[in-house]
Amino acid sequence: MDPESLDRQTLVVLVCSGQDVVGRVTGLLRSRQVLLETISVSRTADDSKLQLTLVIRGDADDALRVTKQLARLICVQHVENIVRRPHVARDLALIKVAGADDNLPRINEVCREYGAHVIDDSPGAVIIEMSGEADKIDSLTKKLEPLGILELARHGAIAMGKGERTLQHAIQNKRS
Amino acid sequence: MKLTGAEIVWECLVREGADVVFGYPGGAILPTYDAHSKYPQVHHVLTRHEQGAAHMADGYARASGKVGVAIATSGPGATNLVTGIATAMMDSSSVVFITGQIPQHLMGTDGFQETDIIGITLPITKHSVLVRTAAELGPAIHEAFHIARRGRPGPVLIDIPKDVQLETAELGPRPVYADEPVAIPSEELERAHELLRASERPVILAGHGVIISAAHNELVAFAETLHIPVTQTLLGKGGFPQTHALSLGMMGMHGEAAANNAIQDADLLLALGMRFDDRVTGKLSEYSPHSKKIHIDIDAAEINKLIHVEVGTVADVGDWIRAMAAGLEPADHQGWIDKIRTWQSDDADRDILTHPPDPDSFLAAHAIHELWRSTDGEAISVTDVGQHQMWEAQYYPHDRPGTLITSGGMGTMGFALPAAIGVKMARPEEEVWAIVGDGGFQMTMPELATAVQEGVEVKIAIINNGYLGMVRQWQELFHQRRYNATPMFHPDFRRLAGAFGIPACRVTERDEVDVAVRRAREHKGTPFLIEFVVEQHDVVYPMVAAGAALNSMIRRERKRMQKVES
Repeated sequence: MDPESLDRQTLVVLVCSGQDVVGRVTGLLRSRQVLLETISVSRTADDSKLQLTLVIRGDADDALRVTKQLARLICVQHVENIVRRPHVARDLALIKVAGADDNLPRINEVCREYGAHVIDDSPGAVIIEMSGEADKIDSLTKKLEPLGILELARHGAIAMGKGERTLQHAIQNKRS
Repeated sequence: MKLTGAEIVWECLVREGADVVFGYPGGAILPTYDAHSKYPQVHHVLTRHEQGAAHMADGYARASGKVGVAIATSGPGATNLVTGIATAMMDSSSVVFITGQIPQHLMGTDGFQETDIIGITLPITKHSVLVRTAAELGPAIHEAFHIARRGRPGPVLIDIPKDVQLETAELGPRPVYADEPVAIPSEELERAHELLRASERPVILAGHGVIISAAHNELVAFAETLHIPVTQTLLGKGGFPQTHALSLGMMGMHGEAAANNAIQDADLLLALGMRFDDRVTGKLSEYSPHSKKIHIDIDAAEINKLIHVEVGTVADVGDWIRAMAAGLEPADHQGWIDKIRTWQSDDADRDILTHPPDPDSFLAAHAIHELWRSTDGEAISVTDVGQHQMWEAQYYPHDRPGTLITSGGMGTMGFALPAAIGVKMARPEEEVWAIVGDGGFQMTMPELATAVQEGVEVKIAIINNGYLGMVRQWQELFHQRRYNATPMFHPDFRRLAGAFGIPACRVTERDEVDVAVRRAREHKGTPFLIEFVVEQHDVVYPMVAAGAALNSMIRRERKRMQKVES
């Protein structure tokens, strides 16, 4: 099955920062045959914890099965499929585009349209920074392709639920 | 008090109640072995291979209900544990594995006997930890025992670099771990009551969880009150008395045809502490198509993993049955049970005990069944994997929990002998039989030396058909009888036993079984070995082919020949 044909699910996983956490999580995803698209490891307000944001392909049931498997790991404190509630998610991309003089006006125009920024314009190439939803970054890169993308580095999503509720609340609720 | 890391290991083992540990020394674990002389209250069993230590600790854990402990050195010592760790993981057995690691300043440099055992065992442990300082060691060991036994039990590995074993640190008191009771939502109980009340053709699927939760008595009362027949998984055998009128025996690939038919025809399945393994479901899309399903398991990840259920409750099986007991109304399902009886009588017409293909043949099933009779059904049997394991499951009734210990999920050849040694050390008052094929026995037979050195009075029944029988069976049924790599030479098992100082005998006929078993039972001081030379080409029936629906079984012919005395 083509993974692209399946929905994206975004799991946020709160883990104790410590030994092999990323290895344990990615190892589990591999052994459980999960279609992992991106994984981001983020610091949190609490130094003892990390947030992993996993973007996987599959339906809500697939995501639930993965959620329950992840929850078995001792280092995992909370997992939720954030697609199920109002949330924001952001990818980060650095895109190097050939910086020939006649390209620049078009580059600037595209950047304005997408809220992206040129963060370096060395001779011969510019680097554009864009933070946004995955689809928007997909769309930006498509627009820039005709201008000549020399290099692209793209960071998987980090995500957060909207409103007052936090992952920390979710853990406390589970305990009470 | 200030102790070395090595002393902390033993001190914590003592605190955790580990009176027997199984292991094999080597360079990176040597400081720990050196410190053992200060802790004579912990008995160390020297095995002949680390895999043996792992299976012994596993058998010890399953038989005692305590946490088993296996110790090995770094590198090959640690990797030799791997099959045993995976076996414990698949069958939810609480074992703590302690491995030595090379000194930290050499780690990551391909040092002598270095291996990343944490990395290797990540998918086959419930948890693992590399301990970097002696101060962290005590808490890590206590935590490991806690994790191994809580919830769904499983193996935990602690990797201890040599320098940590030599370093000194203060050891604090053992932490107190609070129970984490799982509240059962009342609406889920109510929903289960409703489904049970509405059901006309219910079946209980009893798994390993019934035994781990010690819920066997509650299950009997529950099934009797609701008049529901009970079928068991392989690891669930003993959790419900097999001789009980409501017992259907084992389900699944080599389960009783009547049990499989009942599952397929049921309108309600109540699954207790089992996980719908492919060996019990057959083809998932055709599994029990008319039934609603209630699934109780301590592991949330098992609910709706393979089978969609109407009610899935995360709970200890015993807690759940007790919570359900209030408001349980007696029911009568005699019509349903009568229907199952007709399937059972058809099963009886195909039974090889009473209708052997050749009245003079000596079948593995005969050997195993006679062994059961000669031991009055009181012994603990420890089986390996393969044909003998399935015949044991079919022809050795288990009425008490903990009387069958076998490698179920992993299907590990070589499990039976070392596991039986661990079982016997955990339950010295019980009679313990390792029932094992000639192939599996040859995988771990050096552990005979361990049993002799320890004076473990384990009885060994080798079911010798000169083949890797279950593989041969698949070749016969599914690979046009191309018996590649399954005929197997074996040593003269009696002389082999003799070389270890173990008395042994050979049985080639059904009516010799009782005398041989009696000799074995009377023997004291060392193991006793019986080689049963059985029909070479027998096949385990019924059989659900891999991927076939549960009720499309390959059956043994109904026998028309005259009955022989059973």
